[in-house]
Amino acid sequence: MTSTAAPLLESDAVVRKFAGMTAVDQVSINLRQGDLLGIIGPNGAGKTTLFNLLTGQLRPNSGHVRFRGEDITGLSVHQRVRLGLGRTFQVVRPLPDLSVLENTMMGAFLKHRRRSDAEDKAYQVLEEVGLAAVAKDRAGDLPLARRKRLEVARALATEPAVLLLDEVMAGLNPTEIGHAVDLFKDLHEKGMTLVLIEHNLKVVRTLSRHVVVLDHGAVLAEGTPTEVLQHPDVVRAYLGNRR
Amino acid sequence: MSTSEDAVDAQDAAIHGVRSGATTKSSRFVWTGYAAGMAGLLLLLLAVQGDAYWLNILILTLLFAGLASAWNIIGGFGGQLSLGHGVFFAIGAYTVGITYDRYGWSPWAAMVVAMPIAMTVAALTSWPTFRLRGPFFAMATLALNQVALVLATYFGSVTGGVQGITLPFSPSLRDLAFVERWKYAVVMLAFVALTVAVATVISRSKLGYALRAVREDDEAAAAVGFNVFAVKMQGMLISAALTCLGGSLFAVFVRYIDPASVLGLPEVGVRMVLIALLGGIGTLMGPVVGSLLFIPGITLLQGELAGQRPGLNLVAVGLALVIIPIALRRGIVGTAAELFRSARGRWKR
Repeated sequence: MTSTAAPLLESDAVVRKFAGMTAVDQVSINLRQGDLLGIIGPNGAGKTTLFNLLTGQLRPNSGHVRFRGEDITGLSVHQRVRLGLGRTFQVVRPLPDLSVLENTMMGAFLKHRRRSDAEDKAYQVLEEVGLAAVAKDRAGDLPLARRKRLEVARALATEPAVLLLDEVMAGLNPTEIGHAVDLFKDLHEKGMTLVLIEHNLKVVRTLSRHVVVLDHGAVLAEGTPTEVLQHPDVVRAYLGNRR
Repeated sequence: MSTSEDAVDAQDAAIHGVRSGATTKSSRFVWTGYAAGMAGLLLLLLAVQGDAYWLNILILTLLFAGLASAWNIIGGFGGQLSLGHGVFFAIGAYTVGITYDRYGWSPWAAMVVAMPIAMTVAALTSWPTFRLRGPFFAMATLALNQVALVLATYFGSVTGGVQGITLPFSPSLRDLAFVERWKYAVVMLAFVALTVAVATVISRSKLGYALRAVREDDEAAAAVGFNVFAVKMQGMLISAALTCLGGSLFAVFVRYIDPASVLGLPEVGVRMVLIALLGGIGTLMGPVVGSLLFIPGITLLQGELAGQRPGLNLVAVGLALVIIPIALRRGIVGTAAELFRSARGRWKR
């Protein structure tokens, strides 16, 4: 259901270098309202760097990032979150000493000044992601799969226009991945725009209709998962160094 | 079922209200706890008001309970371990001292003037130091305290230098000078009531959550839309203003100030941090509990041990301060809350 609306989030030839090594090289992506974009690539392809350029963790050496047509290249992380860019971290970082509810409230405070309103919103999100039963548990005591889910809850509580997920499946077992895939399908069907940075090809294939493949920092191929996965360069880049 | 759920909610409110803010909707429990705490301090005041020795100890205990509570807002909730709060304390003390001694200002007016000065200094010094994390921030603020100590000593024409400033004693409410010593205790109790109330409101507000998010993980805080720098700055300004107020009250109580008594690290800047650590950093009642133990403890030790070997009391204090954080990592209130929580968890299962 890719709409023909104006782009929601785009990167325009972004370049990011680290000490002479080009981690992201002239990458342009284009995300529309309601999209579920998968960004895949082997380790070191520049996925997380691209992710950080989109969220504002890093600034590009050249190129632009636009949100709803507005140039946000110079905006910091919290300013982008306030515009509607939600994100999760690859390494989960809930606030361990706080409860699951409090963690989620952190996100909810963005749109709700009052504590009771933030709490209501947080409960609603926890309900949505299936964590309501453990709302009062200490976040640090949750198993990994639930901590990852909490990351998603915290980002969702900011009521983002687009949710950027950095390897949310990493470290999960197949059953847990199944549950997570269901959650993202569900969110997408409710109209959420998602960007999925993934190493796991199977996950991307089941979720995304549009995939961008990165290798050595550049876009290697782009299209539907089936097209892309048959692309000889992709097979070479992706599987070649694994088999 | 609903009654038992209410009871669980109330327990939750107790735990979170004391430990890290609150998660339940009823703010009743937290404020009931607050009222009970303040009533307990009032009873203590009534109990010792006839005894000049203990009254004196109580006055300082209450002052430091308020100071530790003020420090706790940025140091505990926000996790910014400032060792430079003596500077704000000194601004409060010196503003009252100088304007009273030279120009006969009412300390009430001086307090109102001192707080914006302290907040301005807090903003200017935090601007660069907030870029530093953890121990580097602590060291930078420690250095600020020492710079202030040197300045206060050097600019004797303003501060009275090492001779200090003596505030003339003319008893009246306008001059915040009393013949009846218990009235000072009432003033200090009001100061504790104010600082703990402010800390309670903050801990349950958006700012309180933001400060905790910044303390635990500033990148994650930014990722949910908090402006980390602005959050720290707000916590620091409120904390500095309250600390400054405590300094003003110190000046009217002791009526003599010099650089060592308001900028000495063991006497002020580090003392309030130790009290918060002892009682439970980041908790609401920890600073009060910490002060109730620390100030009488240190005073008694001074009486008991200092006569035997000079400095022996400080050795005892030093030992206690090494042992307590190891034995009670979260301080008295924090550890108690943790034990209560795990006991409840076991009981539930």
